Order: sequence, then C-alpha cells, then structure tokens
Amino acid sequence: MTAEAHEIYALLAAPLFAVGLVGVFACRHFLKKIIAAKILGASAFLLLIALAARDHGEGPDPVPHAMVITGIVVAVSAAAFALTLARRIWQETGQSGFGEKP
Amino acid sequence: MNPVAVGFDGLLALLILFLAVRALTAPGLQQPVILFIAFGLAMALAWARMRAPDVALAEAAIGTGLLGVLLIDSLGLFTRSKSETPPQPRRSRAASILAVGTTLLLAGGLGFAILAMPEAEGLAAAAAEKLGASGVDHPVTAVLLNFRSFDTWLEIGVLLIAMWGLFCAGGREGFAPRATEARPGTVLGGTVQSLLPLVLLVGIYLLWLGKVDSGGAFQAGVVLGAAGILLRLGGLGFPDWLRPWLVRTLLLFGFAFMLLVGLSALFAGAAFLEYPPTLAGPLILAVELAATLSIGFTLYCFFTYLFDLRIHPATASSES
Amino acid sequence: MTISEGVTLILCLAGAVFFLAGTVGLLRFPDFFSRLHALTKADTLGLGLIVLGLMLQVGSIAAALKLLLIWVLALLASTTVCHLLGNYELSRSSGGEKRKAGS
Repeated sequence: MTAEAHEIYALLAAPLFAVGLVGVFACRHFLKKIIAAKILGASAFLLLIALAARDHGEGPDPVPHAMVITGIVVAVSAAAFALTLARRIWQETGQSGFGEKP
Repeated sequence: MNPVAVGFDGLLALLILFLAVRALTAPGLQQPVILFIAFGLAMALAWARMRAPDVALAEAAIGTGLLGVLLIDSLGLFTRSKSETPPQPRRSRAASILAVGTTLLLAGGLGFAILAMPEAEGLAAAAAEKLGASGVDHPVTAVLLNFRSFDTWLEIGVLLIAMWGLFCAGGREGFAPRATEARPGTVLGGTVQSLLPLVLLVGIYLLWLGKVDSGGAFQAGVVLGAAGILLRLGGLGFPDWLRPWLVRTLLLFGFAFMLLVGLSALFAGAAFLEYPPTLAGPLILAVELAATLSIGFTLYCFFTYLFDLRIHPATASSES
Repeated sequence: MTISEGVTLILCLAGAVFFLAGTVGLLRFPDFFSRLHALTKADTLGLGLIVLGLMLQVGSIAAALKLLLIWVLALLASTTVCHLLGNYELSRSSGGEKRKAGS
C-alpha cells in the first residue's frame, strides 16, 4: 500500500519545492513570502518522509521522522521571527514588502 | 497495489499542490492565509498516509495550528491599516510567464532527480537494533531523545534564539505583557477555563505516551502552549506571579537542563549527552519533562508576544 | 464482510454525506448565518456518525472512549466558534451598537 504512496509524495515534493522557491521571490507581501518559505520547507520534509517510507522490512525509518519533527519546530520559530521582523519593518517604514514606496 | 489507495494518494497530492499554488496566487492576504492553513492540514494527512503519525501530530499542531494563529493575528494587523486596497503593482505579462516557466522547469528537473535517486539502505535497521538500549520503546522518541539528542538540544536552542530575536526585533516597548482583565463570563473564557484541566491532562498523557508510541516532548509541549494561547484569547494574559525573571528562567530551562545532563555525562567519562543504558529511561523522562516545559512556554511566548505587541502602523503611515 | 463492518461502512458513508451537505451549504447558501448553520450542524453530525462507525472497529473500550472524547471536544469547539462568529457578525452588521458586552 505505502509502496506506491511514498512514490507519489516523493514526486509531489518536486513541484512543491518549485512553487515555494518561485513564490519566495515573486510574491511581494511579507506575509506571502513567509507562506512561500513554509511551502518550500514542507516540500523538503515531504521528500525526507517519503524516502523514509521505503520499506526495507523494518517499517518506516525513524531517523528522518525525528529530523522532520525537529525541522517543523525550527521552521515555525523562523517564521515567528520573520513575522516579528515584518511587523517591525512595517511599523518603522510603512512598507509591507520589499521595493515598495514608503 | 490497491487502486483505491493510489487514487486517494494521487488526489491528496493534487489537492496539496493546488492549495500551495493558490495560497501564493490568491489575491489579497486573507485568502492566502486560510489556504495555507488548509495546505498544512492536507500535509498532516499526507504524513499520516506515509506512516509518520509523529510528524502528522507535529505538523497539525505546530506547523499549522500555531503558525496559523500567528498568521491570522498578523493578518488583522496588516489589513486593518492603510487604505482598503493595498497598492499592488501590476505584474507584467513577461514576469508572469517567467515565474510560471521557472516553476515548471524547476519542478521537472527536481522530479527527474528524485526519480533518478538510488536506493539506499536507510537507518531503520540500525535504530531497531539499538532500541533495546535506548530506554524507550518507540523508535522516533529513541532517535529524538537518545540517539540524536544532540539535535534536539540544539533545536531547543533555536527556539531560544528565535525568542531572543523576537525580543530584539519587536520594537521599543520590549516584552511588556499587559495585564488583562479576566472575562470569566464570556462563552469563550468559560469554555477555555473548563477545558483547561483536560488540556493539561492530554499534554501529560502525550508526554508519557512518547515512551511507547507516537507522542513525546514536542507534541506535549505544543498542547501546553496551546492551553496558554487559548487562555490568552479567552482574556487571561500573564498572571501576576509570572515575573520577568521567571519568564526568562522558563524559556531557558529546557536548554540548560539538557546542557547539564550532557555535561554530567561528559564528566562521567561518556560522550556528551550519552546516557548509561540502565539510567536511560528515567533520564529521558526528566529531559523530556524539561523540554516540554520550555517548548510549551516558548511557543506560548511567541504568540503572546506578537499578540500583545501592539504595533500601530497607522502612526507610521501618517508620519510619512 | 461481517455485520459490524457493514454497519461501520454505512455509518461512515452517512457521515461523509453530511460533511458533503455541509460543504455544499457553505458554498451555496446566500448569507452568513445560514452558511454558519449549514457548516456547524452538518459537520457535527457527520463527525459523530464517523466516530460512531469507527468505535465499532477498535479493539478496546479505552480506544473507543478516546474516539468519543474527540467528538465531544469537537462539539464544544464548534459550538464556541459558532457562537463567536455569530456574535461577531451580529455586532458588525448592526454597526456595533447592539453589541452586548460580555455575552
């Protein structure tokens, strides 16, 4: 059952990464940039977990699982910091994205 | 070779991709944020499909739940001010074609790379072999808190640094949580207060469950943090007895405790953060307890800090 | 297929139909309150039916009670959220004048 499942999700990681990466550059608003970065990160996690699901008779590989759980927490910490920065920039300059006229 | 399962996974994958694309292309801010939350929940389903329930729990609770709350809170801030329609520079046709083309090219190249990836042995066998000496029975917990506890320690350090960053970037006022009046009469406040014991119980249960099954310090910490966030939303802010020094102590506690455990292992002649197999079980529980407290409290502080940080963009734009 | 599996199948399908109906209502109903009504009521019932169906399949009573707890918590949350949303919309549409403090 999971033999096909992990292949589908491993392949999903590719377009998701592309969408996230282009989004980080193409989106103007800080909030959207943060969302794009989160999608980018999610694609990397997806690939890791999909590879961990390849069965070698021992069940799923717990090492990538632990890495991804750690990664999710780190990603959220970074996002919270980015949100604070975005708010501060906005407070100081009135800009909600890069390249805007203040 | 179950066609129903393959169909479900295919549909879910398409849904995830669609939500991701729409979250970045939908107009305004409200739709993207809500679509992103839906994206996170769909991702949690995908984790569950790949037999990674620990990751599904973490994603649903932290990646989607906590970040969703933070994004929605910021949403109110960013949309409330300025004029009704934020000035959106029109994007030229060439730029759109460039964006779509780059996306397709990247996706194709990466997809090819993923398909061409060689088969690897993985570490599942190695982890299973050493599970008996780890002090716990759940392989993911064993990796997180024994085999790779160094990563977990550094990760708690990242949480600490992020909170530090929040303090620094937050603005002039610094961390000055305002005292709020309790509103026990409201429906939200009442629900939150009556649910609180249950939430705490679930947190402790998840912490305990990590020894044998999916659960552990991260999930338990998030549940505790969520309890605090709910209290804040219900009108109950920082209690009076939570002095600034106590806040700092709680933030630092997990990191410092793991450092202490690691150093004592070093002095006992073992490697940093290496537990003796006989003591591994109790030590892991103690470390998990400290980590849970700090993770929960830090996540709670992320929220309360941003929530109580009343940045007034109106003044900023009126000055310019 | 045993009888209990058949009952589970029927209950889960019925639950899914309620979810579908609630979502259609959310998309098709004209105003805020009828949408809220469609969403919360249909989803609550749908989740209840699915939980009931799944409870027949788990081996232990403890696991069944945990499933039931999930439903009760979802009930509480959806009631509270529905009330908050309704209250917000009410105060917004009436210009905030009739907003009852603390209700």
